Amino acid sequence: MVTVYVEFRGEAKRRLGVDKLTVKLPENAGFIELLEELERRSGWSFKNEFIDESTGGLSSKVVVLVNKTPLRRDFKLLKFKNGDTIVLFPHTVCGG
Amino acid sequence: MIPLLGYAGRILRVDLTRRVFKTEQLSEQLVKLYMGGNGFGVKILYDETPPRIDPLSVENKLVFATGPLCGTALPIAVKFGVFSKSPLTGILGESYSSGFFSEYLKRSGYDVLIIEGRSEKPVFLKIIDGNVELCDASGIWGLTCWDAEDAVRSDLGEKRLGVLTIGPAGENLVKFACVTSDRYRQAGRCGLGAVMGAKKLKAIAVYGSDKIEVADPEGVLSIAREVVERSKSARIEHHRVYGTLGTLEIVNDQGALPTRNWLYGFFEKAENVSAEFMLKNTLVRDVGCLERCPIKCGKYNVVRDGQFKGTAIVGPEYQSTYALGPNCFIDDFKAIIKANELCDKLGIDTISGGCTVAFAMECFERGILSEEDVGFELRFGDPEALIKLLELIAYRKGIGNILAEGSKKASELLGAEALAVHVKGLECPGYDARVLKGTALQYAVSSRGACHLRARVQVPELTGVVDRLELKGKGRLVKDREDLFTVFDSLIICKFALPIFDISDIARAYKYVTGYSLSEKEILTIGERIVNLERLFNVREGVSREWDTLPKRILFHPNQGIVTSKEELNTMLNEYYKLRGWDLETGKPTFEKLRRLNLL
Repeated sequence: MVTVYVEFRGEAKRRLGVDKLTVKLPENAGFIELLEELERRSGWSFKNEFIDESTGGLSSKVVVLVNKTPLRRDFKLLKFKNGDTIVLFPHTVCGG
Repeated sequence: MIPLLGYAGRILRVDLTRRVFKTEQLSEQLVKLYMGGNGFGVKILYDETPPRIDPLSVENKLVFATGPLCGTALPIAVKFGVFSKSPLTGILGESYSSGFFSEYLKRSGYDVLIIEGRSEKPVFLKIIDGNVELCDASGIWGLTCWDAEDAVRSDLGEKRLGVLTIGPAGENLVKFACVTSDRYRQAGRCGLGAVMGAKKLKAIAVYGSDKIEVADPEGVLSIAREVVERSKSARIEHHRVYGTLGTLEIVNDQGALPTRNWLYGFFEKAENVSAEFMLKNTLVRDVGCLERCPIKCGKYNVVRDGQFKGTAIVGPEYQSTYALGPNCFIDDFKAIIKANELCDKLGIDTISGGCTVAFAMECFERGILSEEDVGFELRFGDPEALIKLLELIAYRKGIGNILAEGSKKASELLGAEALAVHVKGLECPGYDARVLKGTALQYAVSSRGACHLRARVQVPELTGVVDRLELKGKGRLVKDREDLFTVFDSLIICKFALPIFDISDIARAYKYVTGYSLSEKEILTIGERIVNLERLFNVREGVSREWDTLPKRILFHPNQGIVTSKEELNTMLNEYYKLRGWDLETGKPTFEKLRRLNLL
């Protein structure tokens, strides 16, 4: 198992009512497995929010940071390591 | 001459020295090569102003330009541009704002307004349905932007006006004074309010009722409807909910939020100045530049309690929050609203104003400025000090007289050049160019100095579309996006509309409005031509490759162990220059490039 720390911003924080969670995932788990685990815990449709249905990649409407670095749209090679910090924004850069 | 559909077809030239007005026809050549807005502004300045003039002298001109899509049914085309030689940077100055000005100027029969000369006494310019009049403004000289606008509206007895004003900062020639539009919007950057002040032009009031003829009214309506429909997407919905401030935590969580005069890239108390805080505590309603804008990213905020109770503005935007908040190490959002309101009333650009105060705070903490110099303690994190200093700057009182020159000149006068964070004299926006490499390149090469809007490279860098620390490809990214957004600034349409209005939509809209059919490639070539003409303007003012650099704080002072070094910048510059067709040593556009772009 790996332990990762997940922080929520914006609408996700409001929906879950918490700022952060510690999540245990199986070895070699990636972003999809994390979203599935969060869905199980919260009942909120993380996959619908964060995944572009047509491409299977990260939605252009969101930003995800893994250890302060933005997750690329094509994230499929990502495997979480113990201690990774993931920040989920269900919105994106709004300009300015 | 064929009718220029989508354009009013005329330029209004106002000579303040001789108090004469002249109307000229817009040439088809100008339209075809430069499109509008940005293109018109830079072409007119390049042709009509002599090199190396003092920006505050009688020789400088001030150009206000609209674009072909302005005044049509397209709800994202409500902007205008202001162009002049900048008193802050000494190179090309340009800034954009929104409100009723662009639509009413066109409906009054003019695409472009050129202000020349200098009035002996304060005046305001009235343009009502094509009738032009210069009115005495001695009674409103000295008033804030808001009070001056109220007085103009009351004097003219006409509610439907686009009104531009300057405040005390513009009158006192503060080098980063802004032009205010309809109270809450500003053409903030480059100190163009000081150019108005030097010309003794306090305000411009415009109303027009002409119809803007377009080539295909049904086509324009159909694309306008599409825009409204697309604006219901989640991508735009987020923008409407959070406004530009929604960006702050995304930037901070990546260590890219400049804090404490760029000493750090992370603000521990970001939550206190975030969009979430705004939504819970101060937001009253969402507002658009005009009511019909479907994006409505503007946020009307009111402070309901505490020391600043009653303060009300549209804002603060992300950039204003960065500059007046974390960069001054201030985490009191209500104080930031108050400082923003003060900037708006006094007519100060919030980015340059906040950054210049942050620079002065660091000077104070390092002992370069003393309490005797300033008149009070000027420490990071002190909102009272921020507010007091902004007032001193606007009225050029005490230390404010030096700081009113902008951080570059002030740092030279104080012997503190290493602490001033600017490019070519323009204070840097709130995206940390040490950890965003393409953003570093865009700051270095943008024609008005450190600019986050000409290429908006921070967006793909902050969202994972490209690797923010990679150098390779950033020259291409900046070049392509500069060409595209120069087209946005020429049409003129809101850049926040890009997710719902791309280059293919631009081609369709331009054809429906003007009747001219342009391919996407031809449109981008117009953008490229304008970028190159801007470069020619700046080369004429002495700009060369050495000018395309970054402040010492970005080059040498690490954020999270990272700088953008000279070597890294040179790598990106070489790629950019090659793609631009600019000489690698001098940074000048090559003969071949100019010939290909019809610029010889």
